[in-house]
Amino acid sequence: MDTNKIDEVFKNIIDNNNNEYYQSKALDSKERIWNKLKMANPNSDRRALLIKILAAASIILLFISSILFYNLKHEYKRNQSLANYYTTELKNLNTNLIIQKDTVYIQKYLHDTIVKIEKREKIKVEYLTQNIHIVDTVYKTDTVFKIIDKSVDFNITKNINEGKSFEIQSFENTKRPVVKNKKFALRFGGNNNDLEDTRLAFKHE
Amino acid sequence: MAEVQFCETFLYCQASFVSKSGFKRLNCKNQKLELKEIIKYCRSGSQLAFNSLFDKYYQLLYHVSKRILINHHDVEDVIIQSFTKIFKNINKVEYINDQSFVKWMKTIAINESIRFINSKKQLEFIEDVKAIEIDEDSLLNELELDIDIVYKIINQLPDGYRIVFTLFAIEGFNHKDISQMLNITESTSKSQLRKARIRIVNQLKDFENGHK
Repeated sequence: MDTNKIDEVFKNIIDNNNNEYYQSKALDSKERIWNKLKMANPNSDRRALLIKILAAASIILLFISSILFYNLKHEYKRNQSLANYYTTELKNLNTNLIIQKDTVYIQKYLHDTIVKIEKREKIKVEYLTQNIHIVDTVYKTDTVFKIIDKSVDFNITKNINEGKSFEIQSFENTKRPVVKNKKFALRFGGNNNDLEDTRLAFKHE
Repeated sequence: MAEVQFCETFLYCQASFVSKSGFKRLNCKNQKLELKEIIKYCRSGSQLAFNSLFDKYYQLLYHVSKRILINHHDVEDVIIQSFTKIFKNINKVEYINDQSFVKWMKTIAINESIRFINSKKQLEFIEDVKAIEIDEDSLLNELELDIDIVYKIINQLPDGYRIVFTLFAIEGFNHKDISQMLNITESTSKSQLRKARIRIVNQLKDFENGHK
């Protein structure tokens, strides 16, 4: 290196006295500079904390998004399979309808049978008028049903449909014809002529 | 994090702290925290470590900038820029030893100072000094120089002379580094230095004559 006496002398003087020469001016602005630096410092604690919070929030958001995405994907797959199933079914149905135009049977299965007797009216000695309302049934239509009741015993064929009401007149089989017993009677007496003749009669009927 | 907090406690109250590698007790009653440790905690984002680094090297960088810029307000701006850059890039720089790290900081301050001058006016490297044969040794021996005279002489030099002389003679950079910093050729750097020396000798001669 190109050394020189002037360089050495100047360097020595500056190195030995450097801290004192500009000290007052330097110290005057030191605090002000530090305050500005604090504001501009990208690595400050506050920023670091903010970045950490943002990072944590991003991770949580990513986690939630993943779960939601997985659920949506699962739901979409399920819907897709259902859509495929119904599309296939519809195709089959259409095909059947086209092939068998006049022979489409629609079978309706109803659940459970509850026959509710709403009104019972005695119109004659032998018959009862009953209003029957079909609440629900498991049987097919056009089924013979029997109402089990102590007072009535009958068979009837009706179209049983849910929510339908109808009226029946049932025979009360507990009624039997009344057999009249012969009366045994003793009569005394006779007619006026006999009375006059004092002839009394004892007759048996 | 706990380590940083401990260190911050240390920085504040000059107490002992626990390092990450184990229970490392520093008897730091009268001992400053080493630069390596400060850098480490700066990298962790500790505000107090930044403060400590600033506190430790503020004057050094102030003087480096001051010798180039002269104006105190310009120096303030440059110091802010320099420390901002240092704090921002402290994670990127590789710590080898204290000297290399200090040189890195000084280089940042010098570059910022040069950039500042260039932003205001283009640096001129004049060639107007005529060489005068003077016996430097006898002149320097006769004069009793102090810091005021030295700075007065340096501050009177033209920008190009002053910067090259400061970088070479005071800061210890070689012509290759100076040429890169100032974006000039090495020969220009050498000629600027030579002429700066001549100008200084002339001024010393004038000073000697005035003194007499």
